[in-house]
Amino acid sequence: MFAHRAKWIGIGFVFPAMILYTVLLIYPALYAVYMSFFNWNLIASSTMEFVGFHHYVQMLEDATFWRSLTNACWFILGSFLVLMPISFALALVVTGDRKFKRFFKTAFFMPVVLPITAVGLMWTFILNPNFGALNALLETLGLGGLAHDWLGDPDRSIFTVVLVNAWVFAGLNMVIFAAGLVSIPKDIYQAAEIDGANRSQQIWQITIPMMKETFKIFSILAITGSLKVFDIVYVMTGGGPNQKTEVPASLLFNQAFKYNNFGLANSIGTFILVAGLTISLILNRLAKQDA
Amino acid sequence: MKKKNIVIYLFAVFWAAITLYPLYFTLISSVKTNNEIFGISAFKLPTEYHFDYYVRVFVEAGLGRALFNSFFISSMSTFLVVLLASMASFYLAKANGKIPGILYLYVILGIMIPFNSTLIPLVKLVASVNGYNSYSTIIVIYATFHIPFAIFLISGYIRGLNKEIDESALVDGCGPVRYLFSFVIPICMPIISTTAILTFLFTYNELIFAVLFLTKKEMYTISLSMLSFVGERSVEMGPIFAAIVIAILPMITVYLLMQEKVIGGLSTGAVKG
Repeated sequence: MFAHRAKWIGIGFVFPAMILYTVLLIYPALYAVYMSFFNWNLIASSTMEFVGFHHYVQMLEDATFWRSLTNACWFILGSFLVLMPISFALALVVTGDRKFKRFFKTAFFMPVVLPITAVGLMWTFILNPNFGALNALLETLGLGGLAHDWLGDPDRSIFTVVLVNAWVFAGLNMVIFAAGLVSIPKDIYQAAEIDGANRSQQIWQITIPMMKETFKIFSILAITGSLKVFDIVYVMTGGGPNQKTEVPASLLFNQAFKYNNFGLANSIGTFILVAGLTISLILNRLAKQDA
Repeated sequence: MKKKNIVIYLFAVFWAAITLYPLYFTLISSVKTNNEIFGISAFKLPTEYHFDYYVRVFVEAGLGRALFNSFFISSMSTFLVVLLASMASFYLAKANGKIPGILYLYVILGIMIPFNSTLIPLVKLVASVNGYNSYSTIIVIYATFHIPFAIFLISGYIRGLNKEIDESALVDGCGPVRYLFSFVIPICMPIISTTAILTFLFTYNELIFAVLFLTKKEMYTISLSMLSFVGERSVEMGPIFAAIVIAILPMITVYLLMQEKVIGGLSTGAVKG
């Protein structure tokens, strides 16, 4: 649409973004794949030794890697069993005609804007067995028997982190569901009411089927997001106790920057990259097919 | 109908309590002494208030400096993202032909790449240019990682615009640079502010790049500063809670002042994403 000279200026507009993107995102992602086939300690002068699939074998033989995958699955399961119903219910609260709607909306969304570091620390202290509020609450309610070292117990710590993660993201997903809810035309509900459908029938038979698109967006974000979980684990448990809360991303970080196992870390990175891309593409394809 | 309403209200109050209680707990613990934190119930207010922790944290732990770093790094990254993404989106959305289409797909791919997988090569890259502890390194890295999503949002918006504006501008003999700055950017203000809010939020709260690339205390962002403060002193809890309060206060303030924009921005961003 522009004259010849102008077209080159137009192309000049794309270049700065493209160069940064290629050098700092695409190149590192591909280089990580390349490096996963070598033994190397990152020091420029040292030699790189080609080891083929050695690090991948090492990765697959590592029980902690499998645990990190299991934990990623717990995050996915938590997204669908805890996060989704809560976010959907919150969206119903803030889109309806209710008193204090503004207050609720503000409160529900609050966790999303807080630095994850602060969130992690706040919850670590609330869950602290010595002075934390959760155990104190359980004791006040006469449920002292349920009091627990929530993060210190290797068998439960991962569930604690999954739930805190749901706390962080409920507000964000509420917004996604709310956007879907308000796009449903009001007269459908009026018609249903005339036909004598009650509120819960309306939700099951109108709202949820009409929000298929939104549920798809949620699923894509939840599954790909679960694979990338890192910050909350890093702050709350660092992968412990006994590496029981390790997720793929924290395992990569610990292997690389704690133990200097860069080759193994890069094979985990490659795994996350390939799994992330594959899952996104498949889910996108499925979402488009149905639409 | 009435009973349903009560159930919904109960749920709403319950969840509001769950989201607000951690803030209350942190706030009251920040003015308690160690004895009170370990001695009295987590729900009770302290008998004496100790505000001196706040002063100490600000001075000793350098939290003031960290706040400045966080704001500076996030603002600059946001500015860079908005500028570069608007320029690129303008071309990618307006130009015809195969190349812009391919470039667009190439950039959008970046949304799906998990940043974790790039960490080790990035460390090597940053080391090779001596880029540790520099504002420009972290700003450029943050900007780069947000450019794909920003381009996705802005170019989508530009495509939806009315074509007639183009024609009138072109008839008047307007070149691309003037066209971008005096037509496209003003018209795209709604999506640009959304992009800016999202970028600012994510960069301010970011942790892992900061952990890797900022190792000197004067360079710490607020998240790092808070984390290292907690690591250093596990003896006295009051100051630790004070540090958390100082870290979250700016975000809560900004959020309360601009909540419509923040939530609105995230809903367009999230739904289209």
